Amino acid sequence: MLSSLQPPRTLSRFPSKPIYLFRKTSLKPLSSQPITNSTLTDQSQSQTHSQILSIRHSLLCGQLTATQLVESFLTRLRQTEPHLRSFLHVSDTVLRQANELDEKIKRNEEVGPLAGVLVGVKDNICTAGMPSTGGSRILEGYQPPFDATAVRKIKELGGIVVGKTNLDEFGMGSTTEGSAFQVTANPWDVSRVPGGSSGGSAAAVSARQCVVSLGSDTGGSVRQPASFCGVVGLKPTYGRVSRFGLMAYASSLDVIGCFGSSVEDAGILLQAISGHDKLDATSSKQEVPDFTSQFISLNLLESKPLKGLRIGLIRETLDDGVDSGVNSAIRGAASHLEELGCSVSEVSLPSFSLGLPAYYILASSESSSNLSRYDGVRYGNQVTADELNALYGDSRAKGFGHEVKMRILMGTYALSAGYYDAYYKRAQQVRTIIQKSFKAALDEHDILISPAAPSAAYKIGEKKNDPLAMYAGDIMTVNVNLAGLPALVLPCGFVDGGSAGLPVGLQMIGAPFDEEKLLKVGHVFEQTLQNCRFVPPIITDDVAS
Amino acid sequence: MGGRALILVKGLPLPKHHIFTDFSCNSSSAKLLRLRRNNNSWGRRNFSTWATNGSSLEPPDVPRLAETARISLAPHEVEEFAPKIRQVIDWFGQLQAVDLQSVEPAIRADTQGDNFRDDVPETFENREAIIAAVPNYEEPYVKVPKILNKE
Amino acid sequence: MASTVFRSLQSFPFCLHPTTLFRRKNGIFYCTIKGKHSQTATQEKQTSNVKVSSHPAIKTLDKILKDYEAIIGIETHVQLSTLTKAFCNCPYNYGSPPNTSVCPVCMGLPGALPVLNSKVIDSAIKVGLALNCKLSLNSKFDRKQYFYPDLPKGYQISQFDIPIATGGFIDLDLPVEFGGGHRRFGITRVHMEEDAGKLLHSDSGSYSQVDLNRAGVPLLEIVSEPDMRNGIEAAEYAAELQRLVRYLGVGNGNMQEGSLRCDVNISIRPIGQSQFGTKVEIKNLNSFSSVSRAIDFEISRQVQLHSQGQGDQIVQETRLWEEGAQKTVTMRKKEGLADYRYFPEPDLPGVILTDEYVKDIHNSLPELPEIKRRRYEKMGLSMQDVLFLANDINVAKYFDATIAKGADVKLAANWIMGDIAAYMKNEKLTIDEIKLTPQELAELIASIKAGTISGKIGKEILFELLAKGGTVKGIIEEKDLVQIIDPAEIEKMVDKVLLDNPKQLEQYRGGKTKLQGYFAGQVMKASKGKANPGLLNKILLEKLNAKSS
Repeated sequence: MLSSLQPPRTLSRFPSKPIYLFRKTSLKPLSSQPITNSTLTDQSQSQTHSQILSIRHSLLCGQLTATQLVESFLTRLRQTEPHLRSFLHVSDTVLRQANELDEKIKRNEEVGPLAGVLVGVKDNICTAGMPSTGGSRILEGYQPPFDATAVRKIKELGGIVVGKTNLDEFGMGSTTEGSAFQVTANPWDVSRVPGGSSGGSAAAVSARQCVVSLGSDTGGSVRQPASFCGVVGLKPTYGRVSRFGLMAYASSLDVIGCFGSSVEDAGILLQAISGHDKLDATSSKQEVPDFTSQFISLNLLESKPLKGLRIGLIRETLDDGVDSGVNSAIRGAASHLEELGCSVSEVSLPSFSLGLPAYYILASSESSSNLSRYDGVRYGNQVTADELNALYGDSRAKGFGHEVKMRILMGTYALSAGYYDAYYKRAQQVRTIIQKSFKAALDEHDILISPAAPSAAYKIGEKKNDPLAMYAGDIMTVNVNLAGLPALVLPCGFVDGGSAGLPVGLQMIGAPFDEEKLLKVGHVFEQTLQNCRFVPPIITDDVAS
Repeated sequence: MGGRALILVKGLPLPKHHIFTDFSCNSSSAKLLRLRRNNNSWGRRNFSTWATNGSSLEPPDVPRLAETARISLAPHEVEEFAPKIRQVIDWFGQLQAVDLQSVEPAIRADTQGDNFRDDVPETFENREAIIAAVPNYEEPYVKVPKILNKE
Repeated sequence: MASTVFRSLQSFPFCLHPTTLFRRKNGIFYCTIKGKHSQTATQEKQTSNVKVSSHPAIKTLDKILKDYEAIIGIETHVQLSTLTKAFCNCPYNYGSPPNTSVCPVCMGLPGALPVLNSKVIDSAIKVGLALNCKLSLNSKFDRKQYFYPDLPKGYQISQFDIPIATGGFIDLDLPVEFGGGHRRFGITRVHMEEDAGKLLHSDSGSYSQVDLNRAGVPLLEIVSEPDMRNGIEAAEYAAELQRLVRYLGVGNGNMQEGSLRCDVNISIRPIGQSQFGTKVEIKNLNSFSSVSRAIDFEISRQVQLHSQGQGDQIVQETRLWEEGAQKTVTMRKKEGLADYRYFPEPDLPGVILTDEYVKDIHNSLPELPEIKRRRYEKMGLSMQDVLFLANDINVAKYFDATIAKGADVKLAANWIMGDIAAYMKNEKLTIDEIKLTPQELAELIASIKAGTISGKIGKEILFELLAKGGTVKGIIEEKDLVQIIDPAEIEKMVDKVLLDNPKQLEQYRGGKTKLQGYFAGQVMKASKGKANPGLLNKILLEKLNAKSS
């Protein structure tokens, strides 16, 4: 049951001025109480519940119908969308599916574990019969003839795809400003970015427009927006989830990831989409354990539930370049983990900083190749021409945005004859070094932790012109993709900004295929994080009761 | 905040003139570079200056890259992109200074092999949707304009 | 053994085969000089477009060609006959209506991923082993990038620096009519890749049409060492690859259908020069004979230019063979090397082979053409016979089955190559379609050998068996064809014939000994062809030469 939400803390400023964005609407914060930046005082906290389990419970014991539930979400979606613009497309069959579910429940038929759960899907993940643009004009209007495997699995388990969420074009970017269509706003402060490239998916879950959502993570595109939007973001091990149906950006780095408002929800969604897929030759045959069976409710936890767990705090992520507020939040998280019984020590990862250029070389190169298929000939938008190369050139020039063009050109350069050894091959070698250094660190530690981003969400438009400044923000996340490791980001604190502060996420990195441990630890951390509610001020009172 | 992050990124000081320890004239990759550039009509740089001025490989020729990548760039776009691309490529160059001898390149995170298909035919059931998505379809072919030069 | 210049004289100068035999590293093979006046296949297919020079010119060209050698290498693409494409489950059937065998993967739709068909690996290993290659136990795929409408993804999945097989060789025998001789040509590499779709150009040239049925069909690319020296060698190399592919059952190797495609690389140099000449690529070769003729034309063209001091006019380019005009023409000039921006295919894991797997495939290989030919040779068959029987796997199977039943090798060969082949040609049947079984052929041969039936009767039976099937024994019985070998019975018939033909008898006795044939014919007729000819003639002669009674 979605409880009514109170802002947990006080900040020193009144959120008085209306915020003008693309429309002249003013946002009413939830309450006009003065809020201070002091220690948290609100004690009447219930821990973060799994919305998915609550929904299931409500539906099955008749407290709520699916139609009612879905209507309340859709209402909130409609109310908040003008300010957030998380969605590129909202499905018009949602209510019908909810009605069908209600019929099923009435008939006492079995319903899947995701029954009644509204799922947002990042628009670079193919949904049959629903537009899938990849955030790009070149695919405006394109409807795939098939569902991505992850989407198919969600549907098979009863999930309802509520719509397609906004993203940086083809996954290239960290703010969602790279979308060809609209800029998504951060629910915590609509003058700020939600992060990217899965900004729409993160914002949608953060603003409770849907229950959970799918994103994709190539260099941090699930984890950084999770941090910026104060939600849980889960990046699985490379190969854990099928990439079939995910529009490829960098094939050796891409994964489909999950957003949820709680660790448990993210875990349930991961469970739903994981597993070997014969349509993806890089998907792993590794057995998928039951991620959800290990969550222990708060009242059953012993006093030092994580005793014996060895946590490594990555030294290189707390250097000069990191915002002091973020630094404190992470250190605070580390203390919290210690209170839970973990032993936290600093660990150094050699060559950490090399990961960023290596990542961009590999990502640009692979994407320049993966995007060659967008030529306007077999699908997508075509600019007609008398001659073939002009057709290609003009269609791609018109269809691709600035950042995509840049990356394609850089990638083309890096793969050109004579340059392969200097760039691509070297980047692959750096990848080996980074894989080895993570492995060494994870031999000594169960989990490594770091911030998910050097700062909290910045202002829309702040980073647009300087590519290197943009790329710099990925320093915390790219190495995990290079090594193919699983990682969980969950909100752990706040920094100043916006009307209620800006959330900061803690990144937890695990050994290959060890999502189980990450989820377990994350869950305990989340449940025991007192006095910290991560609900953005945009959420109004009239939440579904 | 972004500026601080930049410091983190630029951990390795970007040398003005990159010295490529791996690009000694005897290395096979240098030879390859030489060979390829002799054949390549647009790599017109005199080889003798390459070693002396110490700067990296041929800087990105944006119009040429755009042609290769089939993206028609307007002149103002070329002007806009060139410095940014150059800046990023230079930044990529910091990898040159790293000692990577005897490090195996990794194509991806380890995936187990043996992910093959059986040779069993299956017809894709939604062929009509594929055909319907073709912008210029003249039954039963996909239509394209004339082709002047094959690459 | 000395190297010899091998040349066959033609009356059309542009089809000369001016070649010098070349010492090769892995063995020394030479051809024998053949008769200078025999026809060649190429000559038979001449069209009238070719210029005919007068004799002095021929002699001059001849002379010039003698001073040069041609260095020829061939790149062959073999379409594999798997049921599905290389990376998706679409079936492939030659001649299907356009764009009916497509799916997101082979159409290059967003989000689609390739998954390798395991049969492709099997086929690649079979070919690699058959070509005596070293297999790469750990190979990978690479992307070869270029833009073209028949290439949906904008790249072709291929193998660049670690192909599945390298460093092999192929043994073959040149056809007897071209001088025969054994050859061994090196194989540089064999690798797996996917085919592109088909592009059709409109008549007006203002647009083109794309059919993607073929996009994604698996191919093996086989690259030879530049070991061939003339058109015949090249044509036979291609033919042997076709043979191999059919023997292994990995493809149908049909040049007209495009399931076997050959591109030739050729350069010439003066004999004695160590530096290679400029290489020219020739495409659009749709038959083995066009391979041969195109090469011969190109050799002449290059040699003429070079000898006239215009060697710089030979440029690195791609030329097309024009079947109608019987010449090569420029298609496009190569400006530097094409940059395909190869990099390892991230969507496909590496191909890792175990020794056991390779061994299993090795053990499953059928007897390959080369081995078969050597076996047939050992049986005492002539080279002509060997090549005829071994070159078609179905004929070879038939032959092997026949001699397995105990038939005499030479006789079996003769029957198959003679009457049976003629019948097949007339009726346009393949050896699988004739009704005569190897078992019955063996039976027929045995019956003749044993004297149960005469050779002539045997032939009659053969036609019946070919057309209608049945058994030898059955037909013999049914038609009462058992040879008459009882001298007494024959004697009776001879007596009767002599009696019935007194006039001829007198003529014979008068000196017209030729009439023996006449009498023999009469006796044969009387015996319904069953009289043993040898015995018949013996007795006849006796009777004829006896004193008149």
